[in-house]
Amino acid sequence: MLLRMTAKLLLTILLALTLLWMAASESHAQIYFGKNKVQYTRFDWQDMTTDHFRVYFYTEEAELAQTAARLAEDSYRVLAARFRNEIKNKVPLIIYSSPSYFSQTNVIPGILPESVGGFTEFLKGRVVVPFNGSYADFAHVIRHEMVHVFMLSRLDAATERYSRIKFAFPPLWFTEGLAEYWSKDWDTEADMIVGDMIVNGRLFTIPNLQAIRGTFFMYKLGESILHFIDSTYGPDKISRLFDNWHKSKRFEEIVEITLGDDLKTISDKWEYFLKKKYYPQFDKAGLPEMESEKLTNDGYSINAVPIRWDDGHGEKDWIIFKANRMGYSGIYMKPAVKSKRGIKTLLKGERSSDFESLHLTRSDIDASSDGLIVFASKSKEKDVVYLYDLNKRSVTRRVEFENLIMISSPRLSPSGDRVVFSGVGKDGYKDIYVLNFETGDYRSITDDHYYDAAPDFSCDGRSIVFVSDRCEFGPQGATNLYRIDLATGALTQLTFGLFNDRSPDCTPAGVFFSSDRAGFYNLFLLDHDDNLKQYSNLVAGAINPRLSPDGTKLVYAGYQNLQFQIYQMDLADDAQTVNQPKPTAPAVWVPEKIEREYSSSSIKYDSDYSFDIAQSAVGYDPVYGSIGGIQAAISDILGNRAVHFLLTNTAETKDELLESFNFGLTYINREKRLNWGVGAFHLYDEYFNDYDQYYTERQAGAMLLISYPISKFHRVALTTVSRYSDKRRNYGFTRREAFLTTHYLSLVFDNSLWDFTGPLEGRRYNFTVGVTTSIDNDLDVRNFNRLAIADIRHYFRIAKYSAFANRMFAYTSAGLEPQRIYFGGSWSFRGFDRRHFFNRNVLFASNELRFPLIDNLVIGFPIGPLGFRGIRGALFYDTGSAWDDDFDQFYGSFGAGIRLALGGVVVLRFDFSRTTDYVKISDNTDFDFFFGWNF
Amino acid sequence: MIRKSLSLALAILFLVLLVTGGCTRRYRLSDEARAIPSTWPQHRGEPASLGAAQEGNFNGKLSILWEESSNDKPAGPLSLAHGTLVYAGTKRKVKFYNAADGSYQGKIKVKGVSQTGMAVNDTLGLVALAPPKSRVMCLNLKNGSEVWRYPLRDATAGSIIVKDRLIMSSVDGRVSAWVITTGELLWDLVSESSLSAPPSYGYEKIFQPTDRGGLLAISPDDGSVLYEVDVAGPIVSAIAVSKFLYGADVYGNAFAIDPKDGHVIWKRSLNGQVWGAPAVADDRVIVCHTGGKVAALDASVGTPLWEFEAREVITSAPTIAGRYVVVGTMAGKVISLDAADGQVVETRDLNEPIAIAPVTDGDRVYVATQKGSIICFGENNAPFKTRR
Repeated sequence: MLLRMTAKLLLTILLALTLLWMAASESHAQIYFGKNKVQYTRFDWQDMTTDHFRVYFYTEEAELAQTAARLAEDSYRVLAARFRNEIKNKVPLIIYSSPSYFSQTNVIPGILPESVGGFTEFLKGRVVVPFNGSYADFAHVIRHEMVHVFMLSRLDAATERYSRIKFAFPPLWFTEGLAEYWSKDWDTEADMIVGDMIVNGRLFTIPNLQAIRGTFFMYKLGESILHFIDSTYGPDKISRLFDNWHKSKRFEEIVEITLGDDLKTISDKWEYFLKKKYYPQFDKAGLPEMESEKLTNDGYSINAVPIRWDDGHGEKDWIIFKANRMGYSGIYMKPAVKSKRGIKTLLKGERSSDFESLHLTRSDIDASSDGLIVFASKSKEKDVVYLYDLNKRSVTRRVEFENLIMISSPRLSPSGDRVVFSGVGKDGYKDIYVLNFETGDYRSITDDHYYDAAPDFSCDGRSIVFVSDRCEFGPQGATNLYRIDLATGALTQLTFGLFNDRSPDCTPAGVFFSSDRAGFYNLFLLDHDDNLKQYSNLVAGAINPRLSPDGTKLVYAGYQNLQFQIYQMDLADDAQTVNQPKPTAPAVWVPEKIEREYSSSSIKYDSDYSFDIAQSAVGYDPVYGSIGGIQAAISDILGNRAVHFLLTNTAETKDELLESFNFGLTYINREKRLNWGVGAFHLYDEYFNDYDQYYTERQAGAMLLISYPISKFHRVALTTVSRYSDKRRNYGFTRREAFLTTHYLSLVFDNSLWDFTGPLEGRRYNFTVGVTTSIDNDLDVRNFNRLAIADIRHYFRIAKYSAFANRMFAYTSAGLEPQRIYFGGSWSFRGFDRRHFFNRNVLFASNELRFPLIDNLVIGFPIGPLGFRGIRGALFYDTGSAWDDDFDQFYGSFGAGIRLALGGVVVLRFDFSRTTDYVKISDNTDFDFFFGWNF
Repeated sequence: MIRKSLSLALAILFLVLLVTGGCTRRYRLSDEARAIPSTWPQHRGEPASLGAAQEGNFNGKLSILWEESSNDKPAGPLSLAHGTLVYAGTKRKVKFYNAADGSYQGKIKVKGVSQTGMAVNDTLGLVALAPPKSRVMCLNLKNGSEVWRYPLRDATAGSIIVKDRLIMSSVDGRVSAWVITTGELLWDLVSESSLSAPPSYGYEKIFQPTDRGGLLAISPDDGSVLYEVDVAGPIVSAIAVSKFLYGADVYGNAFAIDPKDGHVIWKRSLNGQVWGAPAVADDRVIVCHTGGKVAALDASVGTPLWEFEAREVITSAPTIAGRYVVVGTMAGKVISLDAADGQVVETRDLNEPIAIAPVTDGDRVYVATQKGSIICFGENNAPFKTRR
C-alpha cells in the first residue's frame, strides 16, 4: 500500500509514479510493487491492409500473417452473414507467432495469464491473437474474437439506432458462449466439461452462472446453452436477440421476448436436455473415481510419470507429476502405492525467473528410473529444458536454445543421453527436435508448417512417435500419431481419422495414447501388430497415459468434478479391440493465404495514435479545496507509445484563475525492454501538513522516468524531476524559491501470489533512495533533502487460504526540507488514526495471520442477488514508532479484522484493535472501516 | 409602448413560425393528396402490388433525384401512399415526405417505436408499436387523432389490408384481423408456432409463414385455417404471391407452393440464410441471402437462372421496378441489376447500412439507410433538389 506523503513533491511524484505504473505490469498492483511485463524481444512491425482488416505482424511471421489475413476474412464473411451486419472500419488484428511473444503485448497493460488464448480490446476494437502452432486453433481463436467484434458492433448499431443511452449488456456467459459457439463445432473438450458437470451433479444453471464468472467452465456452459437455444428454439433466434435488443433494458426480458420462455424455464429445459444426452453414457462408461485408484486430491494435477527409483528409505514406486496445488504450479512426487509418505514438493514454479512458468497444461514432463526428471520452463524470454536429479534434489542441467522460443513435452531417450521435445521458433511453427545431452547439439526432426507435438522415443530409441495435424483432417483440427525413423527420416502414419489422438507413450506393449475416437477422451493402445485396443471407457475424460515400470498399471490424468487428478488403473486383459478407418486421401495440405488482390502491405508499421481516454472531472477535498479539469491519453495501435495529458485548475477566486492552472504532459515508451518516459508540468495548489500548516507551492519543470525490468519479478526504476519550486507558508509568511532536482532510484521485487483480499504467499520488497539538490546559491545546503525507504514483506503459506504475513518498514529523510510522511490507519499502523504520526523517521513492523471465513456468500435482495467471494479474517499485531530528531518510544496495536472482497480493486476492511504504549493497553477498542487490499 | 407591442408581436410571430415550421410540423392529409392512389404496398399479394411494380419507367440507373436526412432511424418498412413516402422512425414518430421532390410534409407522433411501418388506407394510418407499448393503433391522417387502439404483443414486421380489414401477426403466434375503421376485432387465430414473418394475401387467402417452417393458409373472413403445410426451416420473411406462393427459410431453402392446396411445387437450396422476402418479376423469383448473393430462379420449376455476388451482407428483400432488381446491402451499397440476366446496371455507395427493403412506384426507387438518410433514385425528368 502506498503511504500517504504530503511532501512538496506530492503531486509531482504521484504523477510520475502513476505513469510509471502504466508502464509497469499488473493492473491491480500499485506503483510501489507489482510484477513486470518484460519486452524481451524487439519486434520489427509491419502492417497489411485487407478488405476488412489491418493486420499487424513482425518480419519473422510474415508468412503466418498471410494465413491470418485469410482466416480473418473468411471469419468476417461467415459472421457478417450470421450477425447480418457489416463493420465499416477496418478491424485492427495484431498477431504473435507464439504465446511467449503474445505475453509481451502492450495492447493491454496487465500481465496476461497463460490461459488467455487471445483477446479483443474494447477501447479501440483491437483483436490480439497468438499462434500456437495449430492452424485449427488459430482459426478458432480469430473467429472467437471476431464474434466479440461483431457483437459489439451490432449492439452499438442498436444503441445508435434507437437513441438509447441505457442499454442491456449481455452477461459474460452469453458473450463468451456465443463466441465459442459461433467459432467452432461442439468438441470433445466441451463434452468433457459439460458431461462431467451433469453426471456428477455439479451443473451450474443459468441463474447461478455468476458463481463461475470468467472461468473456462463458464465459456463451455455458455456454449452449451447457445447450442441448446439454436437447436431447440430455431437457428434464427440467436440473431433475433440482437434484433430485439432495443425492446428492453434487461437481458432477461430480451430473451423472453425473443424465445418466448424466461431464463429459468430455458435453464430447466437445457438441464433436462443435457441429462437426456449424458445420463445414457453410464450404460457403458464409468467415472475415474469409481473405476481407478485416485492418487491425488488437491488442486489440479496433470502429467504424471510412474517410475521405479529407490529413495533409500524403502520406497521404490513413485509418481512424479506436475500440478497446481496451492496457486503455483510445481513438480511433485508421491509413492505410487498407499504409504504414510505424503506428497513431496520437488520444485516450485512461478516464484523466480528461472521457473517463471512450468506450462502446466501445455507441456508434459518425463522421468527415468535413474532419478532424472526432465521438464521445460519459461525462463525470462524463452523456454529452457531443465534436468532435475532426485538423488541431489536439485536442478543439475539447464539447456537454452538460441533459435527456439517455446519448448514443450521433453522426453528422455531410453539410454538417457538424448531428449526429444517439440519446439517453436520465431516463425511460430512447431516442430520436433532432439537434443544430445553430451554435446549440447540439437537438430530438428521435422521442419514444416504442420503442428508436431508430444513426441516420445520408441523403446529402441531409433524412432520417435509424435502427434501431428499433417493428416487428412488436419485442417479441421484433427491430430493423429506418426512415427519417424531417426536414421532415414521415413515417416509413417500410425493412426487415422477425424479424431484427436494425443500424448503417446511408447512401451514394450505398443503405443499408449489418449483419443476422443470413442466420444470422450479415453485410453488406447496401438500394439506392434497395428491392432487398436481401448483400455478405458470413462465419462468426461482420461488423458496422458503412462505405463507403470512393471507393465501392469496405467497411470493417467482423469477428469472428474471439475478437475484433473492422477489415477491409476490395472491393465485389463480383455481390452476391447476397435477398428480404425484408413485414409481416403493423401494427407498433404497447405494453409490458405490471402489472395494478393485483397491485400496490400507496408514495410514499416504506421503507428496510428488514437484516444484511450478523454474525460473531465470535478472534485472537492475538505483540506485541499476544489479542483476540476480534464485528462486525456492517446496511444498507438500496439500500445507501445502513449501520451498523457492533464489540465486542471485549483483556483478558489477568479483573480487566481490564470495562475492556478495545473498542467502535465508525459510521453511513455514501452517498445523495448527499457521503458522510459519524459514529461513537463506546471503545478500550483494550496497544501496542508502538520509541519508547514497551510502553504501554497508552485512547481514547473520536467521529468524523466526509466524502468528496467530485470525479470518478471525484479525491476529497477529511476525517476528524475527538475523544477522550479516556489513555496509560501500562509502562517509566518515565509517564502522559499529554489531550483530543485530530485532523483529516486528503486529496486523492486514481487513474486507474491494473491487471494481475493491480498497476497497469500511469496515476497515483496521495495528499496528506494532519493536525493534532492538545489542549485540556488541562496541556500546554504546543496543537499536539499534525502530519503531512504525499505519495505520488506513476506507471506508464509500455512494452508490453501491461510498465511502468516510479515512486514518490515523503515523510512528516513533528512536535509534542509526533509520529507515527512503520515503514518497510521488501516493501511499501516492499525489502531491509530490515518494521520496520527507525521515524521521523517519511521520504523514499523506488522504481523498478521490471514485465514478464510466464507468462500462464497450470495444474498438474495429484491433487486437481485449480490455475491461476495472471499470473506477473510485476520489477527494482527503491529509495532513501530515515528520521530523527527529524537526517538521517543515504540507503540503497538493488536486486534482482529474482516476483509470483504467485492471484486476487482474493492476490498472492504473492518478492523477492531487496541493500542498500547507497552506500559498499558488502551481501554477502548478502536473500530476502523476502510477499503483496500491487505499489505 | 409601441416598442413593447412590436416586441410582443415579433415574439408571437416567431412562435407561430416555429410551430408551423419544419421542426414541429404535423402531417395532415390534404384532400388533394388523398386523391393520389397508394402504391406500396397496400397488401402483399396481389400481383399489381406485391412489392414488385411491374410497370413503370425506371431504367435501372441510380441517378439521385433527391435525398433527405430524416434525423431519425427507420424502425419498420417504408410505404408509398397518397404521393408521400411514409417513414416510421425510432424516435416514435412517423414522418411524411413528398415522393416527387422529397419535401418534408410533417410528422405524426405515435408515442412508441413502430414495428410494422404504417399501412395507409384512405385517410387512416395503421401502425403496430414495439414492446413495451405493444399495441396496434389507427390514426386519422387528416387531423392526427387516434381513432382506435388494440393491445398486440410484438407484431411482426409488416401488415396487410384486405378489403375492410387490417391483418397483422405477432411473435406469440397470433394472426388477427380488425375492422379498419372501428378497430373491432373480427377474429384472432392462435397458432402453435411463434411467428416472425408478416402475412401476405392472394387467392382470397391469407398466407402466414411460421417459425416451425410451415405455411398457414387462413380465411380472411373468419380466420379459419384452410390448410397448413410443412415446408422447410423457420421462415422469417413474407411470402410473395404470384403464380405460386414463393418463400424462403433461414436455412436458405427457397420454395414454391400451389396456393390452392399447399402442394410444394419445388424447393431449392441457396446456401445462405434468407431474411428478406422473395420478389417476383415475370417468370422469375429473386431471392437475396445473407451470404451476399442475389439469386434468380425460374418461377415455375425453381431452376437457377443467374446469381450475382454482392460480397456484402444483404438482409432486406429485393425490390423489382420494371425490368430491374434493386437491392441494398449492409455495407451501404445500392445495386441495380437487370432482372433478365443479373448484370449490374449501376452501383451506388451510400456508405450507410441498408436493412429496410427499397420501395418503388415503378418510376422511382426509394431507399432508407440505417443512419436515417432517404434517397430517391430515378430518371432525371422531374424537379428535384439534391445535396450530394
